[in-house]
Amino acid sequence: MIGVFNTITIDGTEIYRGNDFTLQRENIYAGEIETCTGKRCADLVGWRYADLTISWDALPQDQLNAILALTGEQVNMTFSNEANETVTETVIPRALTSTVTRLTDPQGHVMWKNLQLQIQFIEAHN
Amino acid sequence: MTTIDLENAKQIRQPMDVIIQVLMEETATLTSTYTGEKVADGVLNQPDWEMRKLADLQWNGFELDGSAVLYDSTVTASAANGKIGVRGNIGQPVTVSVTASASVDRLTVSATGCRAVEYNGVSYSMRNGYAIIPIGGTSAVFVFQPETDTKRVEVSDIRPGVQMRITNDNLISAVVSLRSDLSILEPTLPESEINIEAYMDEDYSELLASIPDETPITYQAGYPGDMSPLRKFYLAEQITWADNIMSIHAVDAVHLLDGDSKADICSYMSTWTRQSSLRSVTEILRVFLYDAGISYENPDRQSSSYIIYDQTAQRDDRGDEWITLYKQSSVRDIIAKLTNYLHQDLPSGLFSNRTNVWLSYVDAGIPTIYFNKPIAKWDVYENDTGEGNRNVSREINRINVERSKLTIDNIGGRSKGSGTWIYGSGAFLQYDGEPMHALYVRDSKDSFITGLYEGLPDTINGVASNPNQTATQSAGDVWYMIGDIPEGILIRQLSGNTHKLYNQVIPWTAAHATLWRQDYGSSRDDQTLTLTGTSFEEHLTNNSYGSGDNQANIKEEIIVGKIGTRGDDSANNNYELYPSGAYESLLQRSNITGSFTWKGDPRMQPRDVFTFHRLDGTDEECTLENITITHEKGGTSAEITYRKGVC
Repeated sequence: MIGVFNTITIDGTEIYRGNDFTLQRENIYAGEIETCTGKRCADLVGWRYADLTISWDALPQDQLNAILALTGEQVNMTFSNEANETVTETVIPRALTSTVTRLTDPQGHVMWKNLQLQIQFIEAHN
Repeated sequence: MTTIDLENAKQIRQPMDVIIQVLMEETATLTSTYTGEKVADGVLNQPDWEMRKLADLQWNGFELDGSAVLYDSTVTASAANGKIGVRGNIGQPVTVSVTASASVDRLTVSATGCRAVEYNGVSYSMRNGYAIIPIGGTSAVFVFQPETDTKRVEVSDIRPGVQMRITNDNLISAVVSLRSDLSILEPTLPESEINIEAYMDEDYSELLASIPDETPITYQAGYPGDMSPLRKFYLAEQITWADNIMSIHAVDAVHLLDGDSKADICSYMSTWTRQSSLRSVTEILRVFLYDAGISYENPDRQSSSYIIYDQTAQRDDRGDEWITLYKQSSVRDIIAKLTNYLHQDLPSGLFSNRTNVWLSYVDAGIPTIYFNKPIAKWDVYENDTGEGNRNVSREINRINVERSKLTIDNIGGRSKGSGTWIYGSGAFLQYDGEPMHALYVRDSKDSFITGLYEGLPDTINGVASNPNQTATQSAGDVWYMIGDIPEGILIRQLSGNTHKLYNQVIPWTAAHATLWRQDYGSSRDDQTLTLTGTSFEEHLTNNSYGSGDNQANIKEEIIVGKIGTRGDDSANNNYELYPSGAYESLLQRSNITGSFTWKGDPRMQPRDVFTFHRLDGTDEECTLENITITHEKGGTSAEITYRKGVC
């Protein structure tokens, strides 16, 4: 939490949770065969979180710096899940979309508007 | 329905558990003492037993479904009761001192709730639930560190040697190919194999390099409570190691059959028409297997003796007698051929309590000799199978023989004496350089072979010119059969002589030839075979079986297609298992084969029979030839090949 705001932690930096943070789970299948009638059979071996795009209306300069510092390697992300439990997942930051809209609030803090970060979850759960 | 069946009925299935073990055991008896605070002491060194699930009020509590029990020190550990390992206090390490009766190179320690085990100042990761620790002595002290402050260490097992477990947690792929050969002619005895790739936390490269060939690799798959039988394979080459991934290639015990048999083995049996003969053949099969290194699980049954069964049985004066000579040759071929022939239904009333003969040897990690015709064991619905295909091969109804390849085999090497003898120079026929497998002497009493080789009596009639031939034999009474009973020669003796049954299989050497000369009328001699007789001699002393014009009459083809008669002479109790019954059975085998992909069932075994429920609503029985089970990425699928019918 930063003040009253929900946050997530990416690579050790606490960042606002973003106004779009919708978690989805996707199942992982293995041993798939397609039968002669077209039916698909498989073993359900686990699930993982689906790829996620986090968007922010605005982020302060220091939080943007933390996101920009991500190099595409796997990092830890801590967040509260659907059940409001705090979990840590290994993720790969895939892409950062940002505008160059910069604004300064009356206190002189620099803010950046309309940011999007694509995240890929790589851990599988049984 | 079992769990595997239930899961296989689903379109989306739970993943199967796979348990693979590398077992390089060492011989030593371990004694252990435990120090420090602990909850319970228990039996170690019983790796096959499950841990007893204890109700734990200190730790995570326990389920209310009754699966956990209160610790009761009076309940002894057993396979049924499970075992209690050494349980420490929550968050506290457990110290175990081990003393071995002999120096051991390594100990494998297993525990749950344990992060690491310390030995001699070195910490070994327990992430996979076990650690393999180099000892090189007779004593060791281990300190098991709990995973977290809230976990309880449970030491379940300490055993000498290496017991490396691979489960779904670290398995990358396991491909298990279980094979048989249901070819109609010239079947082989194929090897089954397993190929494994697994990720290991610790660097085991040095350890793996020291694991020798033939180290047992066990495999099991299925669901808790419904696992496939334990299949045992043997390491075929060095385990390779790269980037913490180890690759294992192991084969079943069939590879032990690669060599030649120890000697020519001569087996005498009353006939191929009786149950005793079947038993005799079975025992011969066992001898070959045993000599090659595949032994009984029950040590009482182990014997390398060539004395096969008791010598009290006595042949009565009916039927035929056979000598089977298994020439020294590939054991694998011998077994493949032996087990290919004796698959037939029997007329009722001939063999007491036996309606079929279905001798087969299947390994696939569980070496087994089967006697009975298999019944449908599994159901496979075509609706659930994919990528199927079906082949219809040309029907086999004859065996071609090229006359130019027929030559005389001089393996006997004995000249004709004044008395009786049966093994004469040139008495046996060769085909393409190989001994012909059967020499058939017809008895006027029996008529069952008349239907077998129609046309042949006119083609091999050299015997007619043999002055020793008795009046009861007519031209064409000696028939040479092209077959492939395992590299051996079958001699059927005429009936009418009161030979006793000598239940022996003896190694064939030239010296034994003389043993055979004894008068059939003399008293029984348990150490020798007494297989002489006037009529017998007359046929076999012929060393010009087809000389001159007669030889030229041998036809290019011997028709053995449809066999009309099979010696079903119940009055004589004279049912012919071999060759007529065998060939009839072979030629009646379906020429339809097929394959399909499927979800897979690791309990399946080659030569199992399954009911194939076809899409058109019909059911057919099929025999499973090969099954390749692939465990990959946590999922399981299989490829199956089969031959239609029970074969």
